[in-house]
Amino acid sequence: MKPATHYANEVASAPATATARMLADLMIQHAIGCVVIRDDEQRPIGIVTDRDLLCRVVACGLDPEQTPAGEIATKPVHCVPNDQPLEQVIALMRDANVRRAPVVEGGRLVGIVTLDDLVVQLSREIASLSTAATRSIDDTLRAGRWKRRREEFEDALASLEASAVSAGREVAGRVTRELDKLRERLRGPE
Amino acid sequence: MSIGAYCRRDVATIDQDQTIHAAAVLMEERSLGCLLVTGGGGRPWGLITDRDLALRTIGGQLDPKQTRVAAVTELSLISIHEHLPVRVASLLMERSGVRRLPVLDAKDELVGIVAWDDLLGLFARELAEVASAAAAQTPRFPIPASRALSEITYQGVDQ
Repeated sequence: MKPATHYANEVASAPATATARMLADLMIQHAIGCVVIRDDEQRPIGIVTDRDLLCRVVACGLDPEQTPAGEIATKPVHCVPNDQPLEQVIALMRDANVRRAPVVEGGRLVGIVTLDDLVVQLSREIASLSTAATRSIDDTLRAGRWKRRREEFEDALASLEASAVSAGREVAGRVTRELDKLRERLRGPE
Repeated sequence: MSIGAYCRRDVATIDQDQTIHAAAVLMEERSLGCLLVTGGGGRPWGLITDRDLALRTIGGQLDPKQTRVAAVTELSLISIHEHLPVRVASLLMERSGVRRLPVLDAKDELVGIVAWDDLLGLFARELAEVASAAAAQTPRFPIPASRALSEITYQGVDQ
């Protein structure tokens, strides 16, 4: 299986001091569902999803302008090394019950693998297979048509040959008969 | 394969006059990803997801305890009839970009919700079955050439 980095996308991140309001704006602006919370050295320390904003800010009656990301983030966050095989990434998502896994290289945040992106990428690969199957069906049909045309052509050739042979026989017979008549006339009456 | 067979029948609803805060608490307590917002007479009126509820409230600087859930719910409600094939639901999701569709019966009464996750699971199971059927038909290569040849020769002599 391909490594996590093959399926990773760009990731939005913010420091722990960013407010819930800033995270919401980031999510709206980039049409994303989560922001990774990082320390000063770009190491992921937590994650905040759109649902976290609902359950930990709106439902709790907190002021989004006054609530820092560090307080509402899920910690620690389940990260995957960039060379981790995809099946292990999926196993982690299933076991940890998460849809998103930040990808790290040497401990630093470099991207994110999300379940949604995996569906998109894997279905593109399936689409390629489906195109290949459709094309091979087309090729088979085309080959079938060509075979039929060749058979028709061969049939036509064979009948042409047969009629040429019979025409030749007829001509030969007529010439023979004419020659016989000539021979008889040359002999003359005896 | 109709949508009725695959939709979720337990749909949580909330009246459009309830507050955003009440909707958020309901979603959190019952682990729901979306709520069906009902209007007068309990008829479906809109669908609100956890994402839309959170981002529209915080992004719009709304007070969750003073604002009706109707203020952040979109008016247009795309729905689908339960007798239609599953393919129609995924097509409708493709066209509209929504991941959840309210499912109605022949009398236009709400019977459930069909979600993107459920359809993905269904297609994945079907695909897995196709893949296992294809794998079962693949010849077990490599066969040693000498053995393969001896089998062919043997059959030739036998016939």
